[in-house]
Amino acid sequence: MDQERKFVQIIRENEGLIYKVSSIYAQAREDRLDLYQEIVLQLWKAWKKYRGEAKVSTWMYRVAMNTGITYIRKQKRRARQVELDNQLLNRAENLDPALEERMNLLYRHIESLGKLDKGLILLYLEDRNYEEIAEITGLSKSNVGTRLSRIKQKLKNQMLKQT
Amino acid sequence: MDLDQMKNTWKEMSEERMKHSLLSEEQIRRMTHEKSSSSLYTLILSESIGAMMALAMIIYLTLNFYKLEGWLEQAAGYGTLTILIISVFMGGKLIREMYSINIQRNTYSTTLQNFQRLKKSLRFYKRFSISISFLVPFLILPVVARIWFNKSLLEDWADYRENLLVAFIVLPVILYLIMRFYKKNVTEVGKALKEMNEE
Repeated sequence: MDQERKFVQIIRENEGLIYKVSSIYAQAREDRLDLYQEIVLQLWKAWKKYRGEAKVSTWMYRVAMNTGITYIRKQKRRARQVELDNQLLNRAENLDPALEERMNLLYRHIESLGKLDKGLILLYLEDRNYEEIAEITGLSKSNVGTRLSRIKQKLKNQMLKQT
Repeated sequence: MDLDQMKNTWKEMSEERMKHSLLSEEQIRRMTHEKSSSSLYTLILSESIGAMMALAMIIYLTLNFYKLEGWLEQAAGYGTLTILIISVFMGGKLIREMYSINIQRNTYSTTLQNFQRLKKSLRFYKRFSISISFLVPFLILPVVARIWFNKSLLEDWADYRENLLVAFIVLPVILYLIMRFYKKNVTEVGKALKEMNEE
């Protein structure tokens, strides 16, 4: 079970990554926890095929984002209704109230984006370069650039509308 | 909020998040194993429901046994009861064997041995169900007709034949679906165990 120990270690080192992907793709607290667990499971399944070709974080983002996108599809099929207020309350766990408020605002902006765009903005916020984003998402570098500038424009407009 | 503020907020949240560990090692381990064996839990759940239903039928039939008239109907009643009792015992055995497949409690080789034993029992269960399925309609139909409708199928051969015909059309389909359900879930459990070995 040496491989399992290694896997657990990697998960612990990258908990933040899984948490962030979960919070981008799932709204309510219980959904986020469910997605978190689903991501861990999918990573565990993919672990035996991982030969270190890509950086661990790149590999993890890829699996986690794919799981998140699939999760959204499943959620749509389930058509679960979650109240917005409840989502916002659940989202900001144990954070400083001021930061919590800003995070809620940020999530609200991201929520309007499409499945893949959510992932792209996450990677942008994570300061990943275009090459890495392309490797994670499977898009070409130029496509990443185009899509990201479109997303940024959309967010800017959204923010302007709110002010 | 503009994009730079957005980035700063995200950074701040990431730093905050880094300070706290979300899960313990044990929790991560449990997460992977619990979900890998979800097929096993599906099997345990369905088998438990099946056993409970058979048990309920035994009780119901025993309480209503006095309604059966004549030695032929009573013989059919005893036959039905015997099959139900065997089903409950076999269900219990299967549940016990399913519970014994636990990678967290046992070593990998013990788990694999237990899995092989379960597969063997399921093979027997399959053969038993197929062979018994030819007998079940003959026994159960007169019993149900008498208890529920106070009707003697054994005296009305045309009606009995008609009901048997319907039963022999419907039963293979139900059996096929049940077998497919078992096969799918057992294969999933096998795959999960194989994956663990490959790692």
